Amino acid sequence: MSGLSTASRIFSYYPLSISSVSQSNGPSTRSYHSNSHNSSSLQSNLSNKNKYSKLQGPRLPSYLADTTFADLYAASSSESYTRNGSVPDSDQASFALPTAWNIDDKSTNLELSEDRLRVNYTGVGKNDTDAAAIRANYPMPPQCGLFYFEVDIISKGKEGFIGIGFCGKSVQLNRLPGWENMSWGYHGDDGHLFCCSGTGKPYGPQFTTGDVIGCCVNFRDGTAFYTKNGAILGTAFRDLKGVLYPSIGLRTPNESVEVNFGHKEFKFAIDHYMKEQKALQWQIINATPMPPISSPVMSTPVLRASSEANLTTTVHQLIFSYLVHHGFSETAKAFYKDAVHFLNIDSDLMEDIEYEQSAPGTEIDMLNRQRIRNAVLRGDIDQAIKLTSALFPSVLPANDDIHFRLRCREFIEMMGRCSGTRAAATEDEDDNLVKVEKHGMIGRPQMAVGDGDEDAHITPIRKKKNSIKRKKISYDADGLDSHIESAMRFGQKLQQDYQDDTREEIKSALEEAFSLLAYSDPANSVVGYLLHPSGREPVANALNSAILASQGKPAIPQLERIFRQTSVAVKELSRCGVGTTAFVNVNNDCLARKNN
Amino acid sequence: MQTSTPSSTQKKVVARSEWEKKLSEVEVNKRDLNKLVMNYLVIEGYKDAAEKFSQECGLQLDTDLESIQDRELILNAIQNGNVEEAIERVNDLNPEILDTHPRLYFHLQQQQLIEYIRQGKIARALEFAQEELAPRGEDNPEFLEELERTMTLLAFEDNNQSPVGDLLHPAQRRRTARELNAAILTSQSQEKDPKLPSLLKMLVWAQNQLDEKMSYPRINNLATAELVDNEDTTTL
Repeated sequence: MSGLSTASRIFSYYPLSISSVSQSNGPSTRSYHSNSHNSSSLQSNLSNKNKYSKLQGPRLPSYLADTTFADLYAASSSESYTRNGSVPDSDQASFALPTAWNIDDKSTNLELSEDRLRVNYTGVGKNDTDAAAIRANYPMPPQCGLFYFEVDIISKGKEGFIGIGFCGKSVQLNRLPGWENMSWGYHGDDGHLFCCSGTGKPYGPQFTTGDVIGCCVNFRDGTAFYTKNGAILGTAFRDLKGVLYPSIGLRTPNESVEVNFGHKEFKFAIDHYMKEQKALQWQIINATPMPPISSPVMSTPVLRASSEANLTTTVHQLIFSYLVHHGFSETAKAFYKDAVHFLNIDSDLMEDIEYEQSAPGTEIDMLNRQRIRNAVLRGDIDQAIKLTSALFPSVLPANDDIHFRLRCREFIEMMGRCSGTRAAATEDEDDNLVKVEKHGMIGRPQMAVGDGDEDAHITPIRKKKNSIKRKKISYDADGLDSHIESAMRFGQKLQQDYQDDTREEIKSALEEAFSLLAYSDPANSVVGYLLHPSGREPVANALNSAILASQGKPAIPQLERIFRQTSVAVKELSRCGVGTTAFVNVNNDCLARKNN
Repeated sequence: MQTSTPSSTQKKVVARSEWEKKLSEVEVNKRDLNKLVMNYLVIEGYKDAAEKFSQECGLQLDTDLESIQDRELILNAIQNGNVEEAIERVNDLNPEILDTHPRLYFHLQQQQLIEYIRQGKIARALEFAQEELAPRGEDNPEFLEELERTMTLLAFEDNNQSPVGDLLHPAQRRRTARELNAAILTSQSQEKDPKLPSLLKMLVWAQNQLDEKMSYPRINNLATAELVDNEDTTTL
């Protein structure tokens, strides 16, 4: 959990506009602190804190918010920047984004502002050898799919020989972008493009003081384009490859430009362009042929729509098996009926499903599993255990941990049933209090009865109680004490059965459950969450999985396995530097989280 | 455009244990998957199943059941070959849908023609083609081509031998039904594409792409979702 708080601090620069993403991306509960937090974590790394106080922290431009890259970026920046705030090393570096110019990677004829975003020309500017270029602090990672930055022409200076583009790491910096091999640029004085050559070719308009020039590298298709004052100028370069750094070059006195790597709004609607690219990528994905279904059913003539039919059949099989897995028997029946009805002509397909999924006994098993699940979900654990023992006798003996979780939950449920009434009790009826405490329930040290075993198991509770002011409580004469008595007996038996168990999770579960005893009103205590019915579901799922596993069925439903595999495959692709992955996001594109 | 791709001869190998660890770290819960299933049931018009599912898993339906049922009835009509009934029902629901989707309307009429041919009502089919479809083909070359393709059905006695036999396959009805369903959903400002098929497409695409980068345990059969060891990973 400590990592989480670090991560949320790191993400203080995360733009607010992606809040919807962080909500749907599962693990991250990101909070947005003030900027000062983050810059300080970066500063600590720098020799001169004051001088670089305006330095930009890690931050994700909004057009990348919806991408697979965003997830990886989140993970990698939290790792890399927590290590002394040092510059990310090899693996993580591939997820870093350019955020500023690199003061150690510039021509001596250039001067850099404190925030490392503005560049001024300071050379003599007589001829081409006086040209001066600078590279960004990080290359553009292909995983981001698109990288876009804009350059404000603050002043065209004497001649306005300004080049904007990108280049490799080893390209000389006394040249304008585009003049060298592995260097590409768009020049303001003539509007020409330079593609690894000293000879330019006409491309766009000239640009000068007051213009904003944008540069976008598209890693999906290896192209780049420029924008001028928010208008797109068309494809500039193709077949781009290699590790590329944003770069600008100046050549005559008083030229000055300032870069925007995404820390403020762009002139060009890059978000919209990103959406279009996403749509194009999804067209490609949707055109991927589905693998044939491995049953002989599809032996009919090759069909134009067979891939689509495979898809529908597979979806139906996955849904049906999912419903069966979780024991949603009514839905499964309705879906089966509807799906057969819907596909009435190619009933051979559904017969295949029927054969595989609805083998004799399946439905009864499903109903039985649902009965057991429902018993757990309504808190009737005793019934669930009885049903399981009767219907699937091998399951509990073979799954001691699940049996334990059930019993532990039953103890909690029993405490829950006492809870409401304990709180309502008056303070006067001491008789009943004694009666209760005799069984070690409330556990005042002097009242605890029984042998050493019981003392031993009560110890952890006492520790907690020492810090709690307990008010004296008592109970109605009728009924209540019997609830508590039986809960306590049950708890003691549970403790006895597992006292020698060394498993950490069992010990802590027992401790947790027993801590309920420390409070007069457990439901409103700090451990009250234990009583919440939501705690039943994981137990129900575990038991359901164990029953399925005992029948040689997968413990995880196929649909879930498909989702997990997809998520991992896409992330791995992105780690391998495949730019196309930036245009998809499994959580956003393939889950229906937005509704409900 | 790749920067640091290892050559195919030294493809990275991911062992099953390592892969399974990655799988286990994926954040997904039952509620997400329930929603994914519900999303499919609602959009594809499985009214009974959606209703039961809502009861059994406790998810709220964000659409009213009646609207699901409307679509279900329309789609069933097409699935059963009752194109006329489907058209009537759509027009009852919202007459603008067919008015504003000429391509969809053409496809419905084409489906009607296919049904006549399927039923052997050749005279009716010819009449329908000449009166309803041919005039529309004159306006649109794409429609004309589709019409000609459909009429080719009449040229073959054994449809299994026919180059356009796919028109008689249930998948053709499903395609027409899907197009109609999407138009109705769009007219109601609802999402028209269920997410689950996208998930499967994404998996197939991603695995194909990843094959070029590394050797890893794959899911080859989407319905069983079994993780199949790659040759390279089993040797580890």
